Amino acid sequence: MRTRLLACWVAALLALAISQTNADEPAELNIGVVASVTGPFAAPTKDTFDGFNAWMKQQGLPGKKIVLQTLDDETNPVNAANAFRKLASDPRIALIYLFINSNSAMAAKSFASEFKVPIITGGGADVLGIPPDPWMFKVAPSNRDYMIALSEYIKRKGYTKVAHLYSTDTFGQYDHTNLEKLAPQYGYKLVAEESFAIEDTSFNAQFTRIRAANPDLIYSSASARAAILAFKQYRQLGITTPLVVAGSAISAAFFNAIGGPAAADGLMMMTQRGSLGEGLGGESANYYAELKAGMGGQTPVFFNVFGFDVGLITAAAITQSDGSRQGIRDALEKLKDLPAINGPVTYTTQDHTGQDARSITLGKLQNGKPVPAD
Amino acid sequence: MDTTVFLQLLLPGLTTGCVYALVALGFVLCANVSGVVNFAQGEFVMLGGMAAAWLIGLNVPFVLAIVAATAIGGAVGAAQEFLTLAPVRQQPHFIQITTTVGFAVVLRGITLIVAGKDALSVPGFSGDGVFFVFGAILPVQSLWVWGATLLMLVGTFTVLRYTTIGRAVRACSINLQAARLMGVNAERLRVIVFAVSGATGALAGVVITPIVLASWDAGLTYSTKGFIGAILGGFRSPMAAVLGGLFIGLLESLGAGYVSSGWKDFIVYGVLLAWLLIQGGVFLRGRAGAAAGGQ
Repeated sequence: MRTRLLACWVAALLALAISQTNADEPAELNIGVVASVTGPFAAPTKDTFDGFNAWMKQQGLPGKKIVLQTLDDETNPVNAANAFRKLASDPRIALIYLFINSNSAMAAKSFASEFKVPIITGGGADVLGIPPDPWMFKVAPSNRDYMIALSEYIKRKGYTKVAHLYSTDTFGQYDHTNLEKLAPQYGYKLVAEESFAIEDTSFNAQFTRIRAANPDLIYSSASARAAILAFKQYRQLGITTPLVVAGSAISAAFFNAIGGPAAADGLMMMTQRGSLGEGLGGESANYYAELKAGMGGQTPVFFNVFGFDVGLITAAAITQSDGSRQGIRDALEKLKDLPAINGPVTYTTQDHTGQDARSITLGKLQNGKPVPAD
Repeated sequence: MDTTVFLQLLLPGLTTGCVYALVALGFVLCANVSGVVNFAQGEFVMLGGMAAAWLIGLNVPFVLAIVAATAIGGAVGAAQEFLTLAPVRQQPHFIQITTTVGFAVVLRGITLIVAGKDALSVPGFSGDGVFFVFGAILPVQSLWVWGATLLMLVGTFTVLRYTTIGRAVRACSINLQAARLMGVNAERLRVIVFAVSGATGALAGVVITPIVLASWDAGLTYSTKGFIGAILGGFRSPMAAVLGGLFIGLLESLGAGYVSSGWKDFIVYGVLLAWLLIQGGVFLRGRAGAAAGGQ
């Protein structure tokens, strides 16, 4: 009898000790990440991770340990869909990030609701946010928002002839469709509409046709390697027409490949407010300073800011939810004008775009840093 | 027709075509001595560019980096034959061809791990300037691409025509079994030809990189376009393969410039399809079939 009583005491003490140990450890938040670790979109993805890691370092989630489980989609929509399925099937995963391009994100959207896991996604394509999938939340403004901002600039400058260089992937197609729709409203004409595949290495024919069309402004939707080659060939051909590039074109790899930041002086970029850095003001400026500090003082680029903003959205959703998949989803949909570096984040039941045209600005590069374009 | 626009499309097309031509040549030479379509051929172009950029990044002297990158291409070509193809020599052809695809994927993966995912650049051999041809603007590096291609083609065809090894390669392309009976050491010859193809592709990669950058995933495009060039050339004659590769480069550029940039690939693959149908006698057979049906 005494032995049995002693055993009960020992068991009770052990249980207490174990529960005490668990209480000391922060609860884990498992986040699945589908990322283009390799392939043409690898450079922006690395920048995104750098920005997100800076958020983890500077803020993170107090009392919670974030565990990332990352799968590479190799910048391939089929792989992205498979990777998403695998992560979403794991009941431990509370939230999924898609650090991939629009093409791949579109592939995941087609069955986002199937697994009922909240998703925070990259990608600029309009349809990622409108019409919304109840479980998918986009961060950056849609292509349409960007094209509205560009059209307003074109109208302000009195330009009437515009050339568009765009990729044949989803992002490029949406940019182009929106420009076509907006052109009559803003009083300009697309005088050259040139496409390319993201693996193309020559843009000579496209720029030859663009030059022959004599536009007032050229807008290039190229990103990653294509953006580097397009800019090099634009410069090589001695074209003097102002060139505006997508914000995603500018990365550390871009500057390295063109011979340093100064080589891009005067290049204009469609970008989000975060690119203006210290000049942002308010809470955005504080976050920007944190991002920069988190990156060891290195000047953040477009996708660094995106990565940091993903962290801010995550923190808001987690702290306002019970941590369940449904709870995080509901909290995300209730976010209204959440301060972030690139601009306020708002979701509604009708629109899961996140940031909107308020977060977009047209910058001009000066020694690698954007200043507001005139 | 505007001469400046024509030249602005023609000459860069010729530059790209030079690389396709060298890849096509590699395809045909390897196929002639081994009977295998080497789908890793374009990866040597990638490897040459990446190796040169990587070495220059490590402050290796420029000329040494170029020589080393070419040598790496040659060594990897020889290794491909010796380590991956020789062991499956007795296997059916599709196994051997699949092995070359596997080798291409492995080579790509290793390059990614060693050199990283970002596109790498190499400064132009004579600076990053441009020159003018009747108003058309071209990077000076184009001259290096044309010159290097010409040099490699002259070298290759001289070897093929005037040396014992060259004669042996030609003999193998005509009748492998008969060449063996005449004392040709086909095993040794295969290693040599794969090494030369690897080195040629790598040098092409080195000279084109200042214009198009080097990237670990660029090889597939070169393989595809070089393969099409080789097919258009009949996949037997090295000279025809070279012309086929040049033709693809020009077709791409002129098609994109004069028809539409969106139609570029459609035009190239459309020409390939039409050529295959014509070569296969499909149109003739169709007519014969119709005639027979009408009887």
